Amino acid sequence: MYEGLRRSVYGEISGLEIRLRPSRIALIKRFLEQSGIRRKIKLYNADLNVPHRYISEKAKVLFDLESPESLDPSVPSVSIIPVLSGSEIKKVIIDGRASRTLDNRLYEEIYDRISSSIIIVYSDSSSGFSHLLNELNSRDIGRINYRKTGGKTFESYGQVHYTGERTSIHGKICIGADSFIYAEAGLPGIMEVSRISNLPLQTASVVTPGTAVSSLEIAEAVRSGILIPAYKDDHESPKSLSLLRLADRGGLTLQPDPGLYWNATEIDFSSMYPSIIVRYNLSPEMLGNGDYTVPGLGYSIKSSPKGFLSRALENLLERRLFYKSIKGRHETYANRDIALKWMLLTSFGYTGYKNAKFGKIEIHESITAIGRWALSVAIEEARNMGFIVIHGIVDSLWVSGGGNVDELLKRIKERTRIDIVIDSEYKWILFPPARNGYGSPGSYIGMRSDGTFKIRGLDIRRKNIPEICKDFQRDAASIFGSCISDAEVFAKRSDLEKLKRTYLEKLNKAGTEDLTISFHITRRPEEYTVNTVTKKLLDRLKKAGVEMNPGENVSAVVVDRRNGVFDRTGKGIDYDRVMYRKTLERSFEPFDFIVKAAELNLTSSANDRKDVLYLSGKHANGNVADLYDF
Amino acid sequence: MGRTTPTVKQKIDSISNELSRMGELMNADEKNLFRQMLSLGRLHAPDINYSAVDTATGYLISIMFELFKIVRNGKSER
Repeated sequence: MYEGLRRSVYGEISGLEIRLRPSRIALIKRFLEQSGIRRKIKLYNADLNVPHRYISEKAKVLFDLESPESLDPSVPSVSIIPVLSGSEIKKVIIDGRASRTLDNRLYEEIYDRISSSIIIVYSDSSSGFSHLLNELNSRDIGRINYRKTGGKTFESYGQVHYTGERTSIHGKICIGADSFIYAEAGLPGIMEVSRISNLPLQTASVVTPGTAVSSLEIAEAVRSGILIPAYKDDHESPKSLSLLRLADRGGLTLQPDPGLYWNATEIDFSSMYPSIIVRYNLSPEMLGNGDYTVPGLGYSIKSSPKGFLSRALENLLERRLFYKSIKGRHETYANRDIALKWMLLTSFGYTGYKNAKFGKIEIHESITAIGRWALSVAIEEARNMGFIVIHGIVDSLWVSGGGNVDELLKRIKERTRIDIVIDSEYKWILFPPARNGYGSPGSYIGMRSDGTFKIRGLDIRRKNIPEICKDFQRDAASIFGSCISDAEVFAKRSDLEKLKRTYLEKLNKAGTEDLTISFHITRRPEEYTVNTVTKKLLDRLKKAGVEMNPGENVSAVVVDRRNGVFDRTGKGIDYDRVMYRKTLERSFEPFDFIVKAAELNLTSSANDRKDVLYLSGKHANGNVADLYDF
Repeated sequence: MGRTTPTVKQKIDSISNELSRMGELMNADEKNLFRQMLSLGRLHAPDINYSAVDTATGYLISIMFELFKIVRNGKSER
């Protein structure tokens, strides 16, 4: 134990340093907490994960690469995915090959493959994998020692998720196939997270991207000799109500006028928020007495020296931009790009998290303020160059009209210092109205110049919509895919009507696969205040002894919506004809609108189009009114 | 993490719902027209958000602005 000077993120501090065996640190921490002096002292480096700290201190890198372009080391691995029907295992998929006969030979193969592999990718949905291991252990083949940890429900960005039970096999790295990073970016993605955050592979597969970012920041702090607070003690500064209202805002989102637009381009700021953190030196210790002010908020920020957060994220950002630029060359690069993208996405949110070790809400507010300013700069530059701004969401802008897009990008980058690229070029893009008649910021369908579609917010992208509706939207989109003018779109209206009739007829003889709906459970049955279809389904399941957790999904065909009758047998007993017809007819709406929008383009001026859209009364619950007669 | 204040769109919904009660005693034609007029206030939600002006003020200014455009353009011009 000795006294000395050490560095915190805010500069040098003096204190008492106690050197302990790692196993004793938690004891001392608990003692200090229980002795009543927790609020009187600041405790640092007292809750670090020991292996993580060791790897960081020794500047080691897991799955180190000779160069960023090197591929991952080859590690013996096997993927074992049991497929269940009810609680019974129907087949086992080993490395993509399905075995339907669950005999001794299969269990011997599973045993051999697990024994000879280091990485085991498994799915323990409905405990299928642990059933498999139990069965294997009960046979005279060999023993696989494993343990299980329970699943849990959690909320992230307003959505309820559920992580299934996890299985660990002694001496192996077990990765759940349903883990977020694995599902998004596969093994190369998890290895990249492990590499950049210093988290062991199995841990990297389990944690959220936010925790991975936090580990990256801690690793950077350990490497740089910066003390890490055990308790967050960096509270929000007092502010006036008007400043709170001004600062507590997210990204800038425009409201597109519903309509069909031709020759549009979507431009995107690359990793906008992390870029802002890095390029504008946004880090808690840089706040105050600075040399520039945050647009719209007036917070003062020091642009030098390089702040801790910008330093910690710089490598992550540069790495992501590098893999983004070469992702087309190899699947591994694409997966690394996805994993890093998720880490970057959460790095911004983490600055506002109340328990983030290096977070500060004013920095969070500054990031969104600079983001709003950057998008407004992009809008201004686009208009100055004669483009029509169709829509904008946080870091993306849709423009149409003649003009040099490359020159536009150059001008925006010069003014904002944030990379901006073309995301997509569209032959046409449709922004359908929301149910209230206004433009919906998150719904559109665009026909790219390369012949592919980009679709957001329509039924085709939603999980809780029956397949028949998605099939209709796919077929309907392809009707208009080749159109290059309003007249051509309008001329396709009879094809659309024919397709609608075909699907209404198809609905009469639809099978289970067409009608199954995936219901996402957001709360426990007793917590639902409205008697929704999902609640009715949960009540039925509960009666049948099936407990579902918030965050899980359950699939069923709705047989009688009013009385809460569902079919989960897959035998296609019957279905609620009224409900399914209404659902299908709703999926017609964006495509009815494409014809209407083309007709409006052909027959009206831009101003008249707005009048028809906004004053036609749909959103106003009335008939067409003439506001000009006064 | 999370917002402390409602978004502009949430606030506009609340203002619009509150104001639409004014139409409850009106006759059917007036009620319909009144609803349409209120709906004009929603067209500038992003502008209100960007400027950070008081949402109720922004909402009313949006209605006035849309009506001003109608008056200025006039039906006969189109």
